[in-house]
Amino acid sequence: MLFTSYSFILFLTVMFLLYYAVPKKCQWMLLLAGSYCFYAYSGIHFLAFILLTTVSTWYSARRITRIQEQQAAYLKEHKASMDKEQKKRYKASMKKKTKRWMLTCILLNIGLLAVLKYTDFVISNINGIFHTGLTFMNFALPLGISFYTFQSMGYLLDVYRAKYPAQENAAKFALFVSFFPQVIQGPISRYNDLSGTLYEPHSLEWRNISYGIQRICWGFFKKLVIADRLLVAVKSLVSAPDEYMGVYVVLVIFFYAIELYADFTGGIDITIGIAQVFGVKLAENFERPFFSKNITEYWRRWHITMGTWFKDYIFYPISVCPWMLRLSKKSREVFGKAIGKRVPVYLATAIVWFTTGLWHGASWNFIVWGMLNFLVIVISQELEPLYAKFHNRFHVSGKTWYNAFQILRTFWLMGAIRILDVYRDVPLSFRQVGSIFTTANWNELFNGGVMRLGLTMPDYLVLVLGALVMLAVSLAGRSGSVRDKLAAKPVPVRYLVYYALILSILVLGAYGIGYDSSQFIYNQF
Amino acid sequence: MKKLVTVFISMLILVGCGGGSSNETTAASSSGAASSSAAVSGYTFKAGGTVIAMNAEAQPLIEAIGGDPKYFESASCAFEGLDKEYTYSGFVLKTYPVEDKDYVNSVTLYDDSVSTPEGIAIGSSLEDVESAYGAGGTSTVKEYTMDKSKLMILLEDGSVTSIQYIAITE
Amino acid sequence: MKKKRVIALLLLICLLIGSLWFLQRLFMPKYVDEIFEGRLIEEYYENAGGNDVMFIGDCEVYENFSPITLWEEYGITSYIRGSSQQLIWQSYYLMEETLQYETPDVMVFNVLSMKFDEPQNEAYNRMTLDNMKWSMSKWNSIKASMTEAENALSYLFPFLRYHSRWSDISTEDFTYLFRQEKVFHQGYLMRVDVRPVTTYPAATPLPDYQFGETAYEYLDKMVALCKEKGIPLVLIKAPSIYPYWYDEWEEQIEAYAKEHDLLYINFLELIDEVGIDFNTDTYDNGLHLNLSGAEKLSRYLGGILRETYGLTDHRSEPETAAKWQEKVNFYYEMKADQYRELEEYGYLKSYGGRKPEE
Repeated sequence: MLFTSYSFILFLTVMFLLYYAVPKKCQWMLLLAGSYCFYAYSGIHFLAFILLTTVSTWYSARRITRIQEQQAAYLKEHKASMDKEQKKRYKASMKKKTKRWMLTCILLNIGLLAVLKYTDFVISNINGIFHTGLTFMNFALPLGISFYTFQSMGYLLDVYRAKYPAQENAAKFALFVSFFPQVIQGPISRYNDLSGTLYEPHSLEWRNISYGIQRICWGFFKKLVIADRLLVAVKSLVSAPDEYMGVYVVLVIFFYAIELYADFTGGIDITIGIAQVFGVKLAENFERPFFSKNITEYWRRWHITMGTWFKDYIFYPISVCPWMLRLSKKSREVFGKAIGKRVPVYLATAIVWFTTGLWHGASWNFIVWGMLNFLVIVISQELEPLYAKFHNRFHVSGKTWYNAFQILRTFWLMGAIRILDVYRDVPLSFRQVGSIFTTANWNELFNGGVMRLGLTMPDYLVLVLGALVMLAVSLAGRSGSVRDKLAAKPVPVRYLVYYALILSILVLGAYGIGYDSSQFIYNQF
Repeated sequence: MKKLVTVFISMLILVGCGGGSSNETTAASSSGAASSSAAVSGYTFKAGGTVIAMNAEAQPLIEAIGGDPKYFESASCAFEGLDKEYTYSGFVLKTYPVEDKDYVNSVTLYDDSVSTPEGIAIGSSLEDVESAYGAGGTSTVKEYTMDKSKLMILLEDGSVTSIQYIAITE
Repeated sequence: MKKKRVIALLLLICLLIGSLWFLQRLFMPKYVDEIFEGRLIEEYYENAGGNDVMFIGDCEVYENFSPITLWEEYGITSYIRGSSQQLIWQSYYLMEETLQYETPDVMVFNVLSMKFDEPQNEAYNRMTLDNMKWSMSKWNSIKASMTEAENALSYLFPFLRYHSRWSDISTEDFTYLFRQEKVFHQGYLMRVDVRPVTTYPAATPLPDYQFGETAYEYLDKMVALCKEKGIPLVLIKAPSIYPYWYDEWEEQIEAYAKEHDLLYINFLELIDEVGIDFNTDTYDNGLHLNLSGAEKLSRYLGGILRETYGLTDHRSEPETAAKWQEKVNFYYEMKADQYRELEEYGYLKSYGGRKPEE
């Protein structure tokens, strides 16, 4: 079910009404039933996959916790009779057991994800390199498999690290995995964060409902009025790359940046808003990312939960795992201290960005995209001393115009890298970006070229106004919750804003016949 | 080891359950893959020296073919837009309008004074048709699709009675 | 505090519903400047009742028959319930709906729509369905007509379909927000201009000439419905040279009419008898008749109908005569106006005429 579909709106309405009608302690069960209905809508046979992940993770985590509890009890009981060596050996053998459970579960689930998602990619590469004619498997991807698999593996690793005990109740755990607002495109939640509000009873609270619905409407506004509208132009530009080079590629970068932002953050707004109406708190996934001044800051503000997931479950474990430490030591010996200390960090970072790219999609476009991000990060790391010298000399840091420069620089840099999302393949993407500097057709902006992309003048007007509204809301959000500020305004003002918001979604939204129906870009995850 | 094997096997079995139609997983494949090919694609008909492809712009082709075709036009019910028919010797060319230009909708061969580039004409045998374009369809109706064009050949008692090139528009 | 909130919320909801209702009326196309055919369906309701003959069908009825001629020549009261590319199920449900308003003495159905077995085009669907009054017939017609891309909700709330017109709103949308202007003559769309037939269309062979199952299903339903109400059903084929009417189709209709004991008139075979001259009687190269042709055809058919079904001559009834006199006046007014435009501009500028090529 698409978020922006009539059936989903109906489903939501029914869920909201039932949620506050059923006895409070059954509310989470209702969410579970609803989530499974939602999931089954995408294809009833797909339930098998999410169930496999749910059951295997729940069971493995429980076993791990059991062993850890066993270990704690045993050590407490035999505290006096064991020496240090014995304790160490005992702990090691217990660790071996829990590790086996953890690895098996990860292998099963990540393996499943890998096979479903990447088999055809591997086949196409084999065909390309060895000129074989292997047929593609065309596996259909279960809804949200990348998101719920990673969320479950995060939970498993947390339990393995004894951060918290496993969830005993299989049904409760199933809800954590399948919670419908977030299963399509995240945010990737941490169990200890989500479980707080997910299972507890919630009474009808005006603020949650009002704020939740406001947030849902805001998400619909961004998605329907801005993102779906811009998509028309982006599609026209991208489907004829030979025709649209030079300044048009600049337009692609710009339009796609706004479009993806509106689409993705809009979807997340809907997600978090829905959860809020249920009284459940989900983590924020975006924090005004286009105000970032450099790439590192950008990745702390864009798709936050993905970034932290990769940091906690890939970057840190790799950085401190034994073979990495050995490698680091070896390289220090061979290449000297300077390189030696960089090796673990850069290698771990490279692995993180390679897997991040791969996670986004089974194509070289995404892998290259990931590695480009890595490259920029490494380069900005290495240029640190140069930057320091520059700032020492010129004292521009903190000045408004310099901040603006940094923001614009980051926006365009990330936008250029992001272009790998939209063009057919890597060489084409590079060629298009290159053409910005080699094709001199800036006059196209003024001779009506933009009017042939499928958008009319009123459409562009709506886009400009919509973008300004988004900007205004972002700016206002820097100093506190926008909804709080709105709530402080007098009733007529407040309700006028709600009225305008809802009406503009219904009138200006790019939905219905005449507009291409488009999915959230992350929907096939 | 045994556990790993069971895990792998169970995975493969499940993966087997997942077979189905492929989905576009990325924006790249869904928006970037549609390439605009300026080259002629699909089944084409040759009128003298002029190659007529389906959905091609009609005006230049009509000028190139020349001659003195019989012309018939039909306005669509209620809406603006004129479908046009040009009857040449041996074939009929029909067009449809998009904005202010006309595009090739179909070419119908009606007598054996013309033939397809593959040598099939009115009166050709069923075997000839199948060796030129392949089997499939029935012994009276053969439909072949390539890119945005469809070639429909009608037969009666084993010989061709009509050859139609039809544009696929959507 | 809570009470205030509830009131404010209710006000918001009322305001939203009111605005949406208003906007829906605003956004729905008025079909004033062009494509008047969109208003065909809605004009029936104010003229319902007292019609002895009902014509049902597509543009081959609403362009080819003049109810005013039927009145003037025979005192027959009639109405044409047709719309552009009206598909057979749409015709059936209109027939069913009409019987809620009146019981005619004869139903006349043009069989061209037998060639369409599946939903065709959203735009034509809208023109036929949007302005039907709400009834089970409308709902069933919607369900049978929807193309894959369409959604029943957008028929319940046309706002969802037409909101995209927000940037195309013109003064007409405001002027005709709550009122309409009469355009048709008991469902007849008048054209006085002339574009003679110069060539005839090619007959492209079809892979299959058999009319579809759905088409036959609805034809059967029509026959059953008329039989149930005791109304004779007359099948006709209008004298249009395009879309091409294949012999194989003709055979099927003849066989069907024979099997169900229905009168079937194929006017393509009676062109000379009716006196139609394709040099003067068509306004679009033979696809549809103009006023002159429609009057000829109506004169001919009217004679058959009166003779076969003993239709009443209502001209002696003062009330009916007075009512129809108004219609007759309007008819001749428009005729005069159309001729005036032809003289002034060379084409029917405000009646949908095509500008002559340079």
